[in-house]
Amino acid sequence: MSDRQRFNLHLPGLLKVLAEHLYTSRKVGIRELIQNAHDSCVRRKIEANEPRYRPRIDVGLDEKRRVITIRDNGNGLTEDEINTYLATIGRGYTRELREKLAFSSPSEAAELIGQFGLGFLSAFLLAGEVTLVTRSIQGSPALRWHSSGDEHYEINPGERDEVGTTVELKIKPAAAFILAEQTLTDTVRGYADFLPIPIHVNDDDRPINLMAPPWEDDEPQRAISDYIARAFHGMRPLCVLPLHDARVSIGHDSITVPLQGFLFVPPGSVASVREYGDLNIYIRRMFICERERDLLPPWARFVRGVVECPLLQPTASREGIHQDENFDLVRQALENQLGRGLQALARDDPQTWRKVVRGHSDVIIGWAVSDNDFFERVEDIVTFRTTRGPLSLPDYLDQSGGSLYYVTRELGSLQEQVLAEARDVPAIDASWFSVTPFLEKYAQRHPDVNLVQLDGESQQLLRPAQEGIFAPLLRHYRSMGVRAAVASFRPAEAPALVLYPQGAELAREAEASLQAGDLPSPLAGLVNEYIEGRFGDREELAGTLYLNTANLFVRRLAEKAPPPEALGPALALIHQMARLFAGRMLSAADAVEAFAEVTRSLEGLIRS
Amino acid sequence: MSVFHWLLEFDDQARACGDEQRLQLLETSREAGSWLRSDPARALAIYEEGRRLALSLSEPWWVMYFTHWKLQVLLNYRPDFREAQRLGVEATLEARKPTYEGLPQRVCLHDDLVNSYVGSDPAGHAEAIREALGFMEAEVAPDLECRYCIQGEYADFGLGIGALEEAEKACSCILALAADEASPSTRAHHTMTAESRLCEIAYLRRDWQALKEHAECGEECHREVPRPQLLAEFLTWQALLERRRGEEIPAKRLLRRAEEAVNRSGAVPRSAYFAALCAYHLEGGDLERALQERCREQALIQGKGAIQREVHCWLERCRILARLGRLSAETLTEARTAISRLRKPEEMLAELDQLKGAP
Repeated sequence: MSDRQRFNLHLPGLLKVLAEHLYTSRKVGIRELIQNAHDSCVRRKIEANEPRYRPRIDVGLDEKRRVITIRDNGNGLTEDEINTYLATIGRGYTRELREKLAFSSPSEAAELIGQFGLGFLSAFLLAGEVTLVTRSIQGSPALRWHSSGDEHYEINPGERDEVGTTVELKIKPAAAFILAEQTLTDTVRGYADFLPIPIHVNDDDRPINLMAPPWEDDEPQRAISDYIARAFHGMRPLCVLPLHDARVSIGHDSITVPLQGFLFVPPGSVASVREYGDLNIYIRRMFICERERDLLPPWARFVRGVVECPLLQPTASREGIHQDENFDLVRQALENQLGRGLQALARDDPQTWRKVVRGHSDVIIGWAVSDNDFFERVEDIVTFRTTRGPLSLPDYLDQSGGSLYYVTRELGSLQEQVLAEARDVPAIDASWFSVTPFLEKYAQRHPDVNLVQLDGESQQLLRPAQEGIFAPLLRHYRSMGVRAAVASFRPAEAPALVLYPQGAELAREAEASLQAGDLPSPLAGLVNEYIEGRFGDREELAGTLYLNTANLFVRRLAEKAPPPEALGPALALIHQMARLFAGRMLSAADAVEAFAEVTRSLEGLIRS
Repeated sequence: MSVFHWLLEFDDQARACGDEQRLQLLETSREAGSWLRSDPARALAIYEEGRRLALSLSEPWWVMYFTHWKLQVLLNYRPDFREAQRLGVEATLEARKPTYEGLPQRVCLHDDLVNSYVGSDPAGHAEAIREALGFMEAEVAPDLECRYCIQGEYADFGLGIGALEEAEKACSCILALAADEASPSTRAHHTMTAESRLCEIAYLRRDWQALKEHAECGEECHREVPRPQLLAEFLTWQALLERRRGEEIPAKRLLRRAEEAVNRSGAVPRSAYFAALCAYHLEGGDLERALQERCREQALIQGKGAIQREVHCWLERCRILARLGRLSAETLTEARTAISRLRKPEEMLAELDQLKGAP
């Protein structure tokens, strides 16, 4: 036997949940009431044939009485409408009207905003008591509706001469912040800037809202620029890309995504972590949310914008948008337009593109590493910091002859710079973490490009040489415990270099720590195993001295074989100068010791 | 002080001073965390940005905090033990300085270093790992969550060196600790990590009943706290069990769900997933498919310092190829070269020789 039952509702509980938990910000109450006022005006425009009708919304603030009023000259409500729509949660007249108009008059349907029949509840986010005085265009007398947010409401005769509705909010202490005029003004403007109906605050003659989005202005470029400056704290963007309706393919078919607004690239930020690809979202000209971070492709974190798209579906609270199929379509449309826009910018206005890339290179390079499509778009355009200023990789390769030379510390040591320049190649600064993977990816995609890390592998800039006449010099060094080899390199003026293997600094610090015993011994074991694994030959850590066979002084030393009292100090001097020139792996004590050795050698040379 | 309490205190102070930049550190950490399981590469990039922001704000504890999370990504989600070892040594050396005296994550950083060796060549570094784990266990306060990490490390180490009892003991310890957790999600998370290892242990012992229980329990926990990477393992083990029972339709359904879970997770599947997957295909007599999966696993981890796992892939490939009668001298040479990178390769080389000699 089946026993069909009906759900019971505990209205105060439901009101509390909807009013207090559906929305995250109390300010939303203002938005919902303005939107109701707007829809009421639109309804009057549609339903009553009044050519001279001028819709208007007034927001009033009485700080002393703690009251905010929102007054419109819209359609007003009959008693029946109050009971059917206003007091029925989840049922809204606007939605029903929109459905009615969807086929007969889609443009009028598109003007209506309300959807869920929940918005009026949000008045209780701000107010403990809500009073509504309304007079319907249908000719019934004025009515006064009152509720304290419990399950009851009262309807009595009201006093109001003109058609329309006034909502009075008795602001509760928790929402007192909204009683500051500036906050109220900012809130109204923030939500309703683009609504086409004038909104006046405290009877000011001038409407507070723009009434039209800047992209609909006769001079959209100027209007958008002014709008960005006003809405984004005086920002002057590097470039602006206006948005337009777009075809997006779905399988074998395609669909038009209605899209308005603009994207822009702000000037570079100091910390790229503050860039998220934030968008402000509008649906039917009503502000929905800011900082929407998933609608732009991940690589576009350096872009911001304002997007108006009726295809997007707001959540019930309308503080966010659903990530549904429409979301994906809009996302695709945005990605296409942005991609094409940036390509056009690079082609037609290379100077601005350079500014974009320089201002946001960290983010662009970072995302290109993990996004193949984006990588293809920027690989030849993005510029890198080099010892010869910013260069794109094709420009760099023209200068370097087909190899990418990079240093992982900011612009490398002086020695690495000198070596690279002497070979007539600039060095790329790969100190930003994503540069090395970018270069690796580039080299993988272009097999003819050779990738050379200069720090730790600078010997790739040296040409091998025969020991030949230099063998006695090398023997002398080896007898001093110095690892030495010969090579030919530029600049020929440099008699020698000391090069260290990659990771030598970390290993040196580890060794020092192990010797000092300042690591707990069980961990020291693992650290020690790391150094052993990396540097089987610990002597390698002291570096290798490369005597320059192209240097005239070194050649003369080798050819003339001076007496030991002169040769010893000369070779010691060359070694210490090379150590100091390397600029790495020297503690303060090491540097002092090196200078002392230089002094001793000079004295030795003078004596000899 | 736990990490959680430190973060809470930091958040309070930053809010009280209206210090937006420092609040940004927390925001960055949260954002990176939200990508951890679905897009580890993205999480890694954001953690690095956070580290740089911390450097620019002269917040050394935060620098180490982000370093630890970078290590977590490198160790668990897109394994690169070579890079993790370098970063682990660097962080351990940095953390010894007086600035980090009270840093709650010092133990985590030590744990990361140990983890990088457990994931690389556990048998080769067994002595040093055991010593480090003992030290850390003694260091950790009984109320800190680090106890789970250390027991987890014991379990992975035990599995890595074939000490199944040791691994099982550590898992039991995790389960006991988790049972006392007040938070259902924390309880479920730790239970799941233990169950995933217990599945591996049960499979290695061919204890099918235990495998069934642990895989089902793991899947159950996933309902409390989603971990697609682990769910994929639990479902694949169950698919194997169904196939063993001759129940092909549910087996395939489970495997499809496992594949969906893998696709949802942006992380590289763990070795247990491939072990279960290959066992599934071998059970069905599909040696070619098992071979393909091993090759796929190998391609995913190649050159990332997971030496023992690479070696395991080679051995499995050789075993399958031997069964197919296609084990070539060239493959054997490559496998031998890979095995020789282990510190103690003798046992594995001996097995390779046996395969070579097999008819």
